[in-house]
Amino acid sequence: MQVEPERGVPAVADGMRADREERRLARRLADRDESALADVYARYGRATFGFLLKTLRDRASAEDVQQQVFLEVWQRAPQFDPARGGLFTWIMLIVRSRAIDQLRRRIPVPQDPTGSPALETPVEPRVDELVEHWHMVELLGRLPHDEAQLLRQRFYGGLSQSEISSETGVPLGTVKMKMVSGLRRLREMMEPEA
Amino acid sequence: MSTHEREPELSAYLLGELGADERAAFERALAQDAALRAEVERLRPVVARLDALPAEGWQEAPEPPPLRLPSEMAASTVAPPRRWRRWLQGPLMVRPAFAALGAAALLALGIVVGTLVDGGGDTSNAPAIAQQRTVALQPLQRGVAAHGRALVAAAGSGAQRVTLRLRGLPPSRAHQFYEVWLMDANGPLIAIGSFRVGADGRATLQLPLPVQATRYQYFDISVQPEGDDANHSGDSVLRGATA
Repeated sequence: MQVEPERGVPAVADGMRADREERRLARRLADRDESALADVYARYGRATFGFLLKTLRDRASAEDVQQQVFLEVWQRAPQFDPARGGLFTWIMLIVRSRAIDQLRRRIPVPQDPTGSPALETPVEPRVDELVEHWHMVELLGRLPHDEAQLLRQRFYGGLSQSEISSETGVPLGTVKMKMVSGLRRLREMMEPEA
Repeated sequence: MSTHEREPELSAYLLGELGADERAAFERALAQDAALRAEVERLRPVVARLDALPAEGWQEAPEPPPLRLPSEMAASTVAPPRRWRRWLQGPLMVRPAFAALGAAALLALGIVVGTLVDGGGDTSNAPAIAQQRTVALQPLQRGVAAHGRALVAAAGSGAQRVTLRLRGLPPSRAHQFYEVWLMDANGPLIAIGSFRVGADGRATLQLPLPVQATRYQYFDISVQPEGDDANHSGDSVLRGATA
């Protein structure tokens, strides 16, 4: 692994910077700056689409809902209140609602005398779990590359800190410090949205 | 030893990498150090959420489709499906009013197009048709003698439209309208247009298709109550495979 030099940005400062960027984006949206919607899409579109693909399991539906969601973001932007949570959290609430709408729309399938009745199963628990996962994915995307890579090796690759150190040549102490730094940074980003 | 000095052990503790003796020593320190304890409790949920993240969360997220900006959608000459129009028109637009307007517009379009399709108009300016196919629509309810055909035509640009010729439909009742859907057997569906039917039970419509018809399995015609619910009513009268 190529570990980038330490950026020297404390986790708290990083969380605040992300917060400021979100507020600026939200203000531009509220001011009806359409380029802000494109910026919001560039920043969050991948995570929302990943969530929709996973939730709806159908690319055509995911694309339709994705478009609906960002039009709704545009229309409802003046209602966004940064004091009540982050922009991405707000967008994910909209995505969640539209995904559930779409899933529920599938349940009352049209009457078909040759078919068997559909079973109604609650969709919210699975959707909420996926919202949480994709929220975390988006936060991971905001981490410095080296910290994100480290967390990936630990939590996806299943390597211990010692194994990461051996594999990458990065001193174990540095691995441990960066691990704590990455976890703290994620925590800072989660807190304004809790 | 300060919290800062214990940071190397902190990550190892959180990740379950300490040996039994080291773990016991760290937990003794935790019992005596409120700041360290608070830090562990603060970071523990992060570790739990990362542990719970499924494999796809760590993989490259899929490229999202290009976003159509509101100004692009408003400028589009192709009418988007009804659900999208609802977003574009804002929260003050209520469905009954919209349904009535939409139905009237589509009925007018249907009449015009019907005239063209039936050979009563000049089609020299119509876009060149690259390919087309016709599918039959069959009744889903006993006692309904409705039937119809859907002619799907693709222009050279790839844009598709469907011409529906429907016969034998029960005349629309008050506060009801018909809706055309693209749908799959397992659920996904998209509304593509609404219309009403007069006493003759006939309707001829031409509708732009916002997606390739074959991405869905069926054309479906349902009876919908006026109201604010954009969902399928579950009351289908006609259906036919798209391919």
